[in-house]
Amino acid sequence: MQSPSVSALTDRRDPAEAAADLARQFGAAAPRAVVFFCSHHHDGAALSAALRARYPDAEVVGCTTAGEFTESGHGRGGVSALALGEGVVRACRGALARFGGGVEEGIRAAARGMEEGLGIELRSADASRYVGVVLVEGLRGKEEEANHALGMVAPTLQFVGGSAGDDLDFRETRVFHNGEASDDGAALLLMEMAVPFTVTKTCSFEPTEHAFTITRADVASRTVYEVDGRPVLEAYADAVSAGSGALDGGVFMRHPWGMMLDREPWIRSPQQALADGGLKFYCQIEEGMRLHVMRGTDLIGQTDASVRRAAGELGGRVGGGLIFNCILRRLELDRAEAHDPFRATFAGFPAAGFHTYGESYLGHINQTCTGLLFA
Amino acid sequence: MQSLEEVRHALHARLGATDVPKLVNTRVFLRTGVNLSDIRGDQNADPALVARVVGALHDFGYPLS
Repeated sequence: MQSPSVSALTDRRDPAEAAADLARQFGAAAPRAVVFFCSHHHDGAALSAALRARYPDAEVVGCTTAGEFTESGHGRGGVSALALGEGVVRACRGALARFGGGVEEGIRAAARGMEEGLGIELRSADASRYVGVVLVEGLRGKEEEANHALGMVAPTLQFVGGSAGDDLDFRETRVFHNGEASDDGAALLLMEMAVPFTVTKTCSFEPTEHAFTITRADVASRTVYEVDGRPVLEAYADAVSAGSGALDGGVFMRHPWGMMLDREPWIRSPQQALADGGLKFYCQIEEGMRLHVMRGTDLIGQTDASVRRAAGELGGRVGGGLIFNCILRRLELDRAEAHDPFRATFAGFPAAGFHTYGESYLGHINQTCTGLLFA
Repeated sequence: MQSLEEVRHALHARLGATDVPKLVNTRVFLRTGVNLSDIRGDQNADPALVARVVGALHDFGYPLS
């Protein structure tokens, strides 16, 4: 029987012990790939190396987190992982893109390695067979450039993932591949799937009647200064019926901004009202872009609906998945004590995920849950 | 090219299709704010925006000139 996918969760801190505990839960699985998400307190490189030593034929990629979960448990300070067997993945190749010499250069070098390993050209690879996972370092603000570079090397392939975290310490995040680590790069995994798959993207927001066109922004610092010729803080405060002094984290979480494409929101979350009158976001926003102020809907319900849609696309049943859930959604789950219902949306199939510092799918997005689900 | 409509027509001609590939359209949208499948009137003749969209398409391997 071909190996399916198996999820695992451990709270062991020692890399060898953590790898052993994950391997025990994987059982007889013979993975083609192992994707893991570990606390920033872990030595992720050593954990990656230990997993690689146990599964020398598997590609091992991972990153640090702001919390880890599987379909059956969650926590902070542990490791979640998914072993993808030959019944799911026909072939795969991972790579560590190092950004020290430039993001585009790092992505191009990593892409060449994956192309050589798989004997394909990314530009012409069959998008119905190949899919990628991208885990980007989460504090240097290079996600837009990384996703753009992926679009340059593989414009018609889907890469989905998230930004590494450090559980709100904001000191260092890391990504890993086969025992190597980077705090300024991305871990990539390109898989030729043996089963149908789909990429999911869900958020719990809908547009309000308030929409702005950006008229002044500093893209590099992810800061907006004016919308429709008005000071951004004044316009935002009016839209959410708050004084500009009351624009705080609570307002930002309840009312992020969204770019609407075919009635689907792509969320940009405010981070901070600046003393110079700017509104700093967790994503870049260009002048001329039009964004709606959003309002919340039902996080659990929308997540469940996205999994059900995916199941429908996959023939009625999900066989497994990798889940990338925004830290801001985790904070909402914390407040509502709703982690169990959130995980229940993945009940019935092995899933591993982490709470991210941003999500990746064709670009960099916020306050969203992205995922790779397969039959 | 003077407008986003011209960009869209040129892309269609290059691709030999009447639809912009969805993933490419989404990538361009997230990069520039332009939905080539439903161009906003206020964006259509903005020279800076036209240049940005042409540049993004070039980056993704769809040069139009």
